[in-house]
Amino acid sequence: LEDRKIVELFWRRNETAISHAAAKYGAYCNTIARNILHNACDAEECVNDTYIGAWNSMPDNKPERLSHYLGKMTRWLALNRLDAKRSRKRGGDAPEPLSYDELTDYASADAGTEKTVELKEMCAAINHFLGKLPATERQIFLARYWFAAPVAEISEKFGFTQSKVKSQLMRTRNRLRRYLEEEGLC
Amino acid sequence: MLEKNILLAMNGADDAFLEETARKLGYISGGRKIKAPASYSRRTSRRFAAMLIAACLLLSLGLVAYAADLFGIRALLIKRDDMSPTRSENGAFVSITQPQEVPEEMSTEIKAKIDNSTKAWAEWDAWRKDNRPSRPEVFLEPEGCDMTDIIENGDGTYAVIFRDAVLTHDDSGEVVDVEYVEMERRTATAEEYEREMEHMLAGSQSYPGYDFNYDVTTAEAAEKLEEIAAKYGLELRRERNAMYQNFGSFTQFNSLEEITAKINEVCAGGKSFFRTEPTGYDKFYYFNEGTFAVSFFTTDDMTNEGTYCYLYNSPYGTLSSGFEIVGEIEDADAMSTYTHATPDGTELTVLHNGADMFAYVYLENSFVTMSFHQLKGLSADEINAIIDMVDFGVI
Repeated sequence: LEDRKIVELFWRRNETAISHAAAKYGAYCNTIARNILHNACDAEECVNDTYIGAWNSMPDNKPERLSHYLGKMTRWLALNRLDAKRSRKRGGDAPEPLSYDELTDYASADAGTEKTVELKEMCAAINHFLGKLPATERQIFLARYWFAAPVAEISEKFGFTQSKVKSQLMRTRNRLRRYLEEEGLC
Repeated sequence: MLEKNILLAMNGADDAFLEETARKLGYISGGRKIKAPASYSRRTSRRFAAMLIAACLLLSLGLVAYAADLFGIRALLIKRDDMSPTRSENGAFVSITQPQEVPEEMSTEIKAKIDNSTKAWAEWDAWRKDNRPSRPEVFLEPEGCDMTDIIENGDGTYAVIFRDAVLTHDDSGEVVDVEYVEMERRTATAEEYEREMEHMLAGSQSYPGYDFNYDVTTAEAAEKLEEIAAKYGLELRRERNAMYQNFGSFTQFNSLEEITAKINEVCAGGKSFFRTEPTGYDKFYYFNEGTFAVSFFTTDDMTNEGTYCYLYNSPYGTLSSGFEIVGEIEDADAMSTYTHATPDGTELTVLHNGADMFAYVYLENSFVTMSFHQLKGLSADEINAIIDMVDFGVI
């Protein structure tokens, strides 16, 4: 089913929207969640959360590219879950997870909390930075830090040795840090 | 905190950047998925006790079940060279769908069913590999190529630029810079570019009517899959039906009663699937040939901090890879095994190492696994109590 039609089903509150979204993007979202969480069950939970997140956020949102809309939601939820898990492993109190409202605020164009505004500024800066990178360098950076792909996989897909990928990532990280410092965001 | 903010802020990365990266990784194109990456290198070898004791035959309530006893983790352990654990050096991957190995003492009838499904999958897997689209020659990397850039020329053709990575080292030999020097440039036609994309995305186009785990992408593949299933007398998983109750803290989708009623109808022939009702469900999904999964909570806390169990029923008569749901365990060597008999007489093998907890049983017609989740771990008594919530006699 075309994205436009699936989004239409979401807007009409037709429950089949979820099964269509799952059939079309389930594996994609699952890959992102698995890359981040390294646990199949947790990843599946996360993807399920994504579907209901989509259900709750449409309307008001009408994404043009459903893949990225769902992918971003999955990534956000997976990072939250990972953060909470790591905190518990360290024995500390789990930090308050980023709320679903923050996610929808962030996903929509409306201004949200102070944190959301801060993230939006940083997001705009990062997009500017990414736009100035050579395509391959940008892709490797996003492969690792957006899709959380293992270095071994990036190495294979881009045709580099792992050490080359690591050195490339290190260089891009340093450049990003310098850029954010210049922008007063770091 | 800064790093976390950067990671979170990156969530707003431009869709065009994500699209190009996802394509390069082979994850997605035009909104279609591709199978999960499996590009891992083997890092560790593992030892496992090869203890086998006679399987125990149980006859109870018309149910025949075989306990694997100290056959233990081998029933679930995935042995593949292209997957290496990420949690620890002693980590391993386990399947919670089809059994990966069968005890020698297993009834010949059950063993034959599992072997049959395994052979069928091997045939399907081989066919898929042999029938992947071939790559256009113009895109085949020359020797020494470290990177390929593809750039639209604006006239319908594409520049294919192969680059060699030239490294700069510091005095200690550490790489401090990489420069990608063009080594060869070719021109690809639009048709060649499309074929290259097709190759890269092979497996990404889900053909309707089949569980995505089959990776059916074309009518030809669908025909072949049907042919193999018929040849081995196996069923296929087709339309997936799902119900959800708990989605973390923000909503409920189906009611507990609604899901319980459906589970009883689909999984227990109208009888009660649970001896003790769960406190809630995370999800329930099923296929019409008999495969189903129930993820249920046993605590009032239905968040990730609560206790839940993921139960998967995989009929032997279904064509399955056994990799539909894969879990990663922290320490395979530390996994201890015991058996537990439920009130209906079904004996399950229980595996636990403090962090990971599983149970499984070879029923007469299907393999059932349970994966338990509680961040603080569970005692044997607690695991046994969860197992006893289910009436295996009705499956």
